[in-house]
Amino acid sequence: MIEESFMQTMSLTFKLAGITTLFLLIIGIPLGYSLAMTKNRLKPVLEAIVSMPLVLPPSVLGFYMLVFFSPKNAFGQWLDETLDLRLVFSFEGLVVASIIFSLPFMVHPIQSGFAALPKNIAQAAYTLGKSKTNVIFRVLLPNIRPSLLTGIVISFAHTVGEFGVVLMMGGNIPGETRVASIAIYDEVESLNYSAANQYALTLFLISFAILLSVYAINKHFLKAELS
Amino acid sequence: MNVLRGKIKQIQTVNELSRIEIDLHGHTFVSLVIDIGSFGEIAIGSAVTLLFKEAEVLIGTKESTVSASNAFVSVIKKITQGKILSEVIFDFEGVEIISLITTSSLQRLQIEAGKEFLWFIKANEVTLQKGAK
Amino acid sequence: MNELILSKDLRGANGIIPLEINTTFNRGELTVLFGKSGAGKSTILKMIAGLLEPTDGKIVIEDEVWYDSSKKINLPPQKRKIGFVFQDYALFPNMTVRQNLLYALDDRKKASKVDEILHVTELANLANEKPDALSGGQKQRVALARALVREPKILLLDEPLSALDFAMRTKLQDELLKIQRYFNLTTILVSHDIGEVYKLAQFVLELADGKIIKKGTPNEIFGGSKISGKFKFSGEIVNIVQSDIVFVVSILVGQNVVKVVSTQEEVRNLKIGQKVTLASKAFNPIITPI
Repeated sequence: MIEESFMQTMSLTFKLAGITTLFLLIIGIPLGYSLAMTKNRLKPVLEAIVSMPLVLPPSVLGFYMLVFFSPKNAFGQWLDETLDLRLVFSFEGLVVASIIFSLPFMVHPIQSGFAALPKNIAQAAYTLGKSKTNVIFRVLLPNIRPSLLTGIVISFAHTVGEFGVVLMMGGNIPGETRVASIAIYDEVESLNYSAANQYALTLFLISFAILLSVYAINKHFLKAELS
Repeated sequence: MNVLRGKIKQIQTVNELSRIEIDLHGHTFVSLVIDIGSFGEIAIGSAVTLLFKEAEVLIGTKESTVSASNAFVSVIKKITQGKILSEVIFDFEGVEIISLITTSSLQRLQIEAGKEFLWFIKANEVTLQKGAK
Repeated sequence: MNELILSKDLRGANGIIPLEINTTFNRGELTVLFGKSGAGKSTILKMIAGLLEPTDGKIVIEDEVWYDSSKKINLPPQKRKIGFVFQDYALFPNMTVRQNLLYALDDRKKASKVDEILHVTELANLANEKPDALSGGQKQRVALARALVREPKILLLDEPLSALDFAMRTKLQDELLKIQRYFNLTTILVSHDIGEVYKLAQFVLELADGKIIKKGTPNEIFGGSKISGKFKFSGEIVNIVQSDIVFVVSILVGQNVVKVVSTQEEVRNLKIGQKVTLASKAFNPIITPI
C-alpha cells in the first residue's frame, strides 16, 4: 500500500519535472537568445521579470497564480469555459506554475552561453549562405551544449524539489498534484517519519546524483574544448 | 633638406639611367635618376622640386674647378658653428642653400659670412619631387 | 564594374555621423577602405554583405544588383556570393578546421574543393584540429580559407590581420596577396595601417567621418612616388635626438630602426609617432655580400 502510493508520487514528481523541463527548453532557447543578443532598452525589465522567482518567496508566486487562474476570476473563467482547462488544483496547473517558477534556472545558463559565443559566428554563417534555422541547429546550439545541459538539469532538479508554489497551486491530491516534496510534509504532519524519510532520502540521493553528473559532464566538455 | 623649384628643360635616357636638366631662374641644374618610368609621367616644362641633403653640399673657393654638374658661386648669409659640424647658409637667388661641413674644414677654408664661395652638389645626389607645392 | 551608393546615419562616439558613399571599384582588384576607426569602414563592409541595411542607396557587384532602395531590392546575405573574414575570425568552435570549411560548401559532392583550398592555404596538416587549438595566424588563415570555399564574387576583409604580431602579419599579407591574385578575386580590405595599404592595395578609398575624402592608388593617396628616390620606405618616427648642431631622427621601418641625420629646420616639422616616407638616391647605398 505504502509502496504503491510511493511509486505513484515519485512517478508524478518526475513526470512533472520532465514535462516542465521540456517546455522550459522550448521557451528558454529563444528567450535566452534574445536576451543575450538584444540591445533593446527594455532588456533590464525582461531580465528582472525572468529573475523574479529567484527572490520571491514561492508562496507569494503561488498565491498570485492561484488567484489569477481561479475560475472565479476573468482569466481563469475564460480558460475554464473556452479551453476546458482548469489550472488550479490540477496537474496542468502544476506544470504552468513550475514553468514560471523554474524559468530563471533555464534562461540564465542559456543566456550566458549565447553571450559567451564569438560575436560574429552567426553572421559568418549567414555569409556562408546558411539559413537562420540551419545556423541555430548547426552552429549556435552545438556551441552552448554545456549551458543547455546545465539549464536542463538544474531546472529538472529544481522542479523536483519545489514545495511552496506546488502546495499553493496544486494542493495535495494523490495521483494528480501530490508530488514528493508535498508527500514529505504530509507524512511528517501525520508523524509517519519512516515514510517521510523514504521520500526525503530518495530526493536527496537523486538530487545529488543529478548535480554530480552535471559537474562531471561539464568538466568533460570543457576539457574536450581545450584539448 | 635643401629645396629648390624649377622646370624640366631636357631629359636624356640611356636604358635605366636618365639625366635630367632643370631650369632654375636661368641656372641649369642636373639630376641623375634611375628607372624614370616608375616616377610617372614627366614632361618638358613641367614643374619639379629638387631635394638634396645639406651634408651633400660641398664648398670650395671661388676659383675652384670641380667635376660636380651643379656648382654655383653665392654669398654666405650666415654660419652656425658647432664643435664638429658647421652649418653654412648661402643666398642663392633669394633661396637659402644650406651646407653642412666639418668645423675644421670651415676654418681651413676661412669661410666667413658676407664672402662669396663656390657651393656644389653632384647630379646623383639630387632627388626630384613631382610638382612644386 | 562594381558600384556602391550608400547612405545611413551612424551612431558614433560623438553623436550621429551621416555616412554618404558614392563610388565604383574595379573587378579583380584589391581595394582598401582606409581611415581612422569610427569612419564607417566596417559598416560599409556589412552593408555589402547584407548584414546591415542602408537607409537608401544601391549596391551592384559584378553587374548583379544586390541592393537598390528605389526598386525595393535587398538580397539577404545568404543570396549574396560573398566571402567575409571577420576581425575576430568567427570560426565555429564546435567544428574542426575541415568541418568549418565543409560547412561553407553548398554541394557536399565538391568536398575535393575543400582539400584543394586546405592545401593552397597550407592548412592540410591542421585539418582535424578544433579552432581553440590554433594560433591567431592559423585561425586567420582558416577564416580566409572558409571564405574562399563558396567561390565568392567578392571577398570582404574586416581588418583581418590587426590582432596579429608584426612577423605574422607580414607573412599573411604576402599570402593574402598571393591568393587574391591567384583567384583574381575582387576584394575589399578594411585597414588603418599605411604599410599594409601600400603593400596590398591596388586602389584606396580613404574615409573620414562617413565620407570618401580621397580615392586613388596608394602612391596617389600617400604621395610617396612623387619623390624619385629609389630607396624608399614608409616608417614611423620613434625618437629625435640633438647631436652637435644636427639632429638624429630614429625611424621604425618594418622591424628595424634606422637613423637619419636631419637639421633643426627640418626637425621642427617632425614629431615622434609621425608617419614618414624615407627616401634616398639609388647611388648612395653600398652593397656588400654577406
